[in-house]
Amino acid sequence: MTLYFLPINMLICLSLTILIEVIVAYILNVRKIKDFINIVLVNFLTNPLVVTIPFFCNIYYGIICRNIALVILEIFAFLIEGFIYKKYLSFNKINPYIISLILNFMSYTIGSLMFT
Amino acid sequence: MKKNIMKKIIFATIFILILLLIPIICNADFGIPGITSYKVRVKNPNGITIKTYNDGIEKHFPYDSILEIRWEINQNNKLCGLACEENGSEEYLVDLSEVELMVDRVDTSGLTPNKEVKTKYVYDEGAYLYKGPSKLYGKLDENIMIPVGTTISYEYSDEVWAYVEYNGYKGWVYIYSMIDVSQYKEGSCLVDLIPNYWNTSLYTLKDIHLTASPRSTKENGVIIPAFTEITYKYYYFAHAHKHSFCLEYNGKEGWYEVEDFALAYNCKDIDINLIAVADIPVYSSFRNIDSTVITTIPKNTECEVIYVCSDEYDTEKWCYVVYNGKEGWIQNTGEDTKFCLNKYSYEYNYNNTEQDQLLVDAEIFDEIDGNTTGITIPKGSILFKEYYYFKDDNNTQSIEEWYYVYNDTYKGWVKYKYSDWKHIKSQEIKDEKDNTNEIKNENLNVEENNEDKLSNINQSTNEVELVTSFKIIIIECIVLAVIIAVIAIVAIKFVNKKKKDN
Repeated sequence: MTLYFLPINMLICLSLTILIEVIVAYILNVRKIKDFINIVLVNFLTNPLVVTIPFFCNIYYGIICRNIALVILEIFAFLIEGFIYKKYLSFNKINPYIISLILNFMSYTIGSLMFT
Repeated sequence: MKKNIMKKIIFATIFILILLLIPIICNADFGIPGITSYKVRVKNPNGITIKTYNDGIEKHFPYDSILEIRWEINQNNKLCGLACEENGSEEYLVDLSEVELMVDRVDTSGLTPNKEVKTKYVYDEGAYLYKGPSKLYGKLDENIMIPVGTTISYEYSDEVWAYVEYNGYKGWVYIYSMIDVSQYKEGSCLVDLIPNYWNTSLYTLKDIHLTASPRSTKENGVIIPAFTEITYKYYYFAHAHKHSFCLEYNGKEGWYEVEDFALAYNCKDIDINLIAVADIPVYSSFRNIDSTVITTIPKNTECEVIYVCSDEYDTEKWCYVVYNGKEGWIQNTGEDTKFCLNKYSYEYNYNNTEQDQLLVDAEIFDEIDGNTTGITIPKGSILFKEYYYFKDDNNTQSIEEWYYVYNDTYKGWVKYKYSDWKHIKSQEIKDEKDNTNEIKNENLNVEENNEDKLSNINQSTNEVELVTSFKIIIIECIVLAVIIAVIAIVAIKFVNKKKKDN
């Protein structure tokens, strides 16, 4: 992918992640509209950063740095999302950090498989 | 409750499977037949026994059985088809001489037009029109052939046949007798892409008889007289020592397969120079060392090259040069190198955008043999390589390689040893120059005769600008991501505050 497509790539990643996470959340029995809004907004918070910063690292410091950054950012995203879910999600049948872990794992895995 | 969980698991599995299928579907080869399928009937009264293509199981098809040909192949110089029974999936290999067509002629009815009209250039020996998209249909007329060089546009095609109209005749043309030249600029190669700095100017040294196609020996009646300056439109590369040019003369076009000393490269517009490594006599006639010697180019002198011509293996080379206002031919042979041309080849306008850095101290000489006293160039110096001299001495079994190098301080011949040099790409040069803030000074100091250097710096600047633009895009995207993140935080707070308020 050329860098000129990075903004489009950001948009695709964000849309796909939101789609996957909303569907997975629905499967996990999340039903309230507000909870879905929170899930969507949390993705707006974390996803663009998780997509762009590794690109930055790749250009300036190489592929190894990019991979390290990606892992750190994914963990960071999981923690931030977990924290926000804990604070704001009304759905309390599953631990919010576990929800965050499941959603992130699913979106990352499915997204990776699709792009591969 | 359990039923509910099961439903969710099934739903989740289907969802994941659908997502996983997307890339597979995107990359899938659906095995679309290369040709438009057509139906045939068994014409042998006794029927035919044919084998399945995959596992060779025989099956008998009685007279008048109908088969659908979905793929054509050539087997043992016989046109064969991969056929299926009506609505069947098993493929059989059928000798097409044992079947007959259900229809005599096919037009475009029922076909979907291509997304865009394609335009191709007919080459090879020309192209016949067929009654349908298979050779089995037969030619429209033996006398109707689209001549080589015709540009044909068509809207309907499969992977093998295109439906075209030529001089009011409509029919199918074998697609491989045409070449798509839309992606090539004039003066480029039909087979391989050639950079746009390729020199397309030629000069005929004898009468050139053109042929109809690059592979043909049949002349098309177009003759380009000797000593004509001409440019070629296309270049056909058959192999290393065999290539053809598509030339246009007086509005007529044709191909010429290059012969020794028939065509010279016209270097008038591409700034090719040479340096004499021995005193060179300048002859009045081409390839005639008995002709009058007009003047002599002294050793170590540079002069401008107008035409360059060499034999197939580059062992004998003749250049038409200008020296002190006098013009004439000079000769180089494999055994007796008298001059070196600059750039990497006379064939193209190569801008030397790369330099080399010395990894050791080296001696630079005024003359190639190094008989004069050399000056030491310090390790780390960066130089342009201008001329290359190579001498393979069979008697002493030795190879001599020299480079004529220059920078702002040094100019002269250096004996070349691969390990003494490090190749520096223009980007690295630029970075190095950026670090030392020397670019501006260098630009100011570039002499008029060093225009190449200026263009090198410009080119490297362009590359740097490209990389910079990438960096700017990334930084802009990160800033955008941060802004989105901040807005998202505010939105989360707002949404949840609203919830509490409610």
